[in-house]
Amino acid sequence: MGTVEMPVALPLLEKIRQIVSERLLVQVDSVDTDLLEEGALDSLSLVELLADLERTFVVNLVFADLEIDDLRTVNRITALVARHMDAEGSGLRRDGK
Amino acid sequence: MTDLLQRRIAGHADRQPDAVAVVLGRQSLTYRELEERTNRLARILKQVGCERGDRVGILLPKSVEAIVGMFGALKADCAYVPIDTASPAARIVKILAQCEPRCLLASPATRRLLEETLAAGAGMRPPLVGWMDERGADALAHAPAFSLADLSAVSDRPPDFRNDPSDMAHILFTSGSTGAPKGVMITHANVSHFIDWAINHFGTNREDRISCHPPLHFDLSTFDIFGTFTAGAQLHLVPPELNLLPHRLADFIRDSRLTQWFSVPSLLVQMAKLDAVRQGDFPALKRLLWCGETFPTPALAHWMSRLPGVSFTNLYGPTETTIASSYYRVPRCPEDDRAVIPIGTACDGERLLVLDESLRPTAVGEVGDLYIGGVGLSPGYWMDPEKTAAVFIDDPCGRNGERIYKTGDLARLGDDGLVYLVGRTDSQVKCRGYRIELGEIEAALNALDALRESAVVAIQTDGFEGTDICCAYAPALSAGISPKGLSKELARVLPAYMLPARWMQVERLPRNANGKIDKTDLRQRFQARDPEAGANGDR
Repeated sequence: MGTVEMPVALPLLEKIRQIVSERLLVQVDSVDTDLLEEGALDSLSLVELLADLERTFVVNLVFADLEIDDLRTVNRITALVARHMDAEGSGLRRDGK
Repeated sequence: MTDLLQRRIAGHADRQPDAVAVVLGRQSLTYRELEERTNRLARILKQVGCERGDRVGILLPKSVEAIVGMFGALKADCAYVPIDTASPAARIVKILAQCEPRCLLASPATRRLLEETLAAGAGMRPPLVGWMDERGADALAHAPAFSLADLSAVSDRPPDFRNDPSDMAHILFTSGSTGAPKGVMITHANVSHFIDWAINHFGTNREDRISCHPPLHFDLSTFDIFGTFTAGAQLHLVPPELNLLPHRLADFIRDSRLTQWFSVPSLLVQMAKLDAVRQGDFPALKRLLWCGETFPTPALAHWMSRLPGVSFTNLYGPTETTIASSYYRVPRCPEDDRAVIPIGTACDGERLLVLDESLRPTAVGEVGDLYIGGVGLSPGYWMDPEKTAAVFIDDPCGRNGERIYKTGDLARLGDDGLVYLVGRTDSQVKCRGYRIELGEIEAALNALDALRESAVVAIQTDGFEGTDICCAYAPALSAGISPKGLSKELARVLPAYMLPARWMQVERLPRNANGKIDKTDLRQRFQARDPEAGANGDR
């Protein structure tokens, strides 16, 4: 899709993989599994997932600014969160601790 | 013009062959391409043995190929069965076991679901597989009978049609109260009658750019598809993932320069809540239609004030009476948030009847059961004369052999001559636009060994869902089971939209004096609890 995949720290990726599989009740086989094709995300679970991510990583994910591709895989979601953590100077470190 | 639905493309393929018929992202087909491709597919379907009246399952996501598949099936004198690709394989097997398709169309996007379904349905007569892609057929576990690569080998001329307007065009499976989805049979004539009324009523023409927003197993999508192709207009398939982000959905309406947007209220409410629609947005849009649920008046007023140049029409009708049976164009933006929007008056050829228990018309203002008669009435449920007889009954007014359908909705006739919905008589609910029988969820719960007993109720919310599905359960073992564990189990047999949003673990379910589960009490208990706790803490 022309987006540059940002390299992200593993612990953040793992933490997000865990949150996604808990919240969406899916086994995320790979961080590149297409969650949309799998039908794992619906509008209700998305709202809950975003709330989880905002709470855990102290970021503000503005609904109106999100693109579908930001949500497609665990990798993309991690990149989204990492971007927000950098931009917002989140108190949490990249390793999610 | 009651005619075969597949004939609706051919005229435009002659008159405006290069006009775009259907678009999804970068993929599109002109009327000529659509006509030729569906002719070829019909010939192949006949070659592999499909005959008049056979069913062709469409196990495809909303796509140009799915549209080709539907018309190919109709041109091969068959009825198509659109299958919800968001359903788990176990539920799809129940549908296939009932309708026994001669052929099942699939593609790389549904490959895994196809293989899971064929494995889970090992006992049933396996359908032939039609692979709706040029590539990837050789990697399938079950060798397909044909693939798109075979299309070039056959003529692009239309085959001889042997079906007639009273033949079934499609079977639409909806949630069934006893646990198995039930198939509503819809004829070519059923659809034709509605489309011809609607095209005339709305003045649809070849300049129109029309959305196809619902999933293809919703009957609303048949209005989008056959209405667009009858008018020679452009059909814009809305990618389902856009529903996740209302702002991106608004971008779609804007960028596609849609002239007609037909949707379900739950989504329109979400777009209003997140303020996705700007003042005077969508300059090309002429009409906004909705169906399937009540559109809350505050959200409707928001839309109408944002889009003053657009007409707003409420359509009403269950799948059993084909797309819609009544309409009401909202004349002006409601000033009072409590204003009740009626379902209006019957479309041409249809009748709305509000009857009492003795099947006599109720007085104006009195609540009764809503029945529908006329040209939209389905022949009934597929292979289920019992269920059919229960709701398709003889017209008490004694018209010759005419039937009427009991909708299960309660309604009253207003002194303005318009019909108003009041509620439901059974446990069917609408949640996020989906029609759900609570009994189907209960049947799935009852099959779990981990539970001693369980019950499902629905409660109204102000939220986007409109209705929350709530489950109270008593575990079989003292160790208990978590709502999350139960959700996981249910997700094996039910689509995600049927999973309960709220859970309550109990020692035993409340029962009334007759020993029946007291659902009123359960509803009150759920209502008394903080919904946030139910949505998050309890999961």
